[in-house]
Amino acid sequence: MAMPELDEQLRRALRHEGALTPEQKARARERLLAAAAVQTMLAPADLPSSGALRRLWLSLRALSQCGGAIRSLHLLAVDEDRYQRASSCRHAYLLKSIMAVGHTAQSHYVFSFYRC
Amino acid sequence: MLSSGSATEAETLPNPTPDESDAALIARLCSNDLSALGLLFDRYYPQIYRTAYAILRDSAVAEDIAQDCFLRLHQYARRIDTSLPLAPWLYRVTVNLSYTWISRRRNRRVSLEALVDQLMSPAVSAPDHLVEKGEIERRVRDAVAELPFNQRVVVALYYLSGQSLEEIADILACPVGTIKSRLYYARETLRRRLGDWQQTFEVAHGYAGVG
Repeated sequence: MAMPELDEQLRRALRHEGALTPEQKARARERLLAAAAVQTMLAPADLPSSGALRRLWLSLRALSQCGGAIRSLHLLAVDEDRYQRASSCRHAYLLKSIMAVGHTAQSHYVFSFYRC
Repeated sequence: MLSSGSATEAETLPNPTPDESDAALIARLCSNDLSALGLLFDRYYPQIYRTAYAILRDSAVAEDIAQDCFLRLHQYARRIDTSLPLAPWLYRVTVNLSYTWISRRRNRRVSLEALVDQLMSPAVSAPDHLVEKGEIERRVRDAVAELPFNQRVVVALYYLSGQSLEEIADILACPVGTIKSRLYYARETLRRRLGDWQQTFEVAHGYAGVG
């Protein structure tokens, strides 16, 4: 079967399908309006403004950055062994701490670099 | 009496005209003017019902789905973005409701009575029916009904509702490439199935090689 023939058959078959009688339509209309009359309409969606979203994003970012910095300082201050290891191999420690703090800190350093 | 508002409230609302835009009718609907919902119903119900019917092949269920679709329109009227056309929104709701209905039905067992009715239906049992005029159309519809849901929806929206590939992609929230691929596989399946059936039909009725 050729594709244009198939297309035509599909159009014809689906067009003749599901014919709606005026009585059916009138009955459905009446049913709809009766149901809608007792249904409560939802209030408009309360979307936050772009300014509020930006403030939220900045505060979350600051929080995560603070968390990473505090964790690093805490480990350095409290754990003597870690301090020793870090001071003996400063470059490796820096790299590891960046990896541990994760993407947020990395992007923070990148942003700081570009800001400078 | 269908109007929910008081008589004075109804009097203050001007009568919507049939030429009014969808956005204007939705605005009226937001102010509890149910006649606007009636006009939107008149405008879109036939195509929504037929789309649901093409997907589900059951008039009672299609009626329920179309009904539910317009009830959602009433319920969500204040949340609808009136800067966008309404038809894709209605089609999207119809497709989603149809999908939900099919998923629920899959979990239910078919009753014995329904199975017996189906097996005893004249369309299946009477051999004379095969030569009737609408046989090819019935076969095409059956073949469409056997397609997977995603392909069936694309076929219904493309061939019945006359939506473009881009519009269908918008309705189904899919890339246009996905819609093209679904349509391609649907057509290939239909071509194969209908081609096989046509050959069998022609041989059985001695039409092969005629014309």
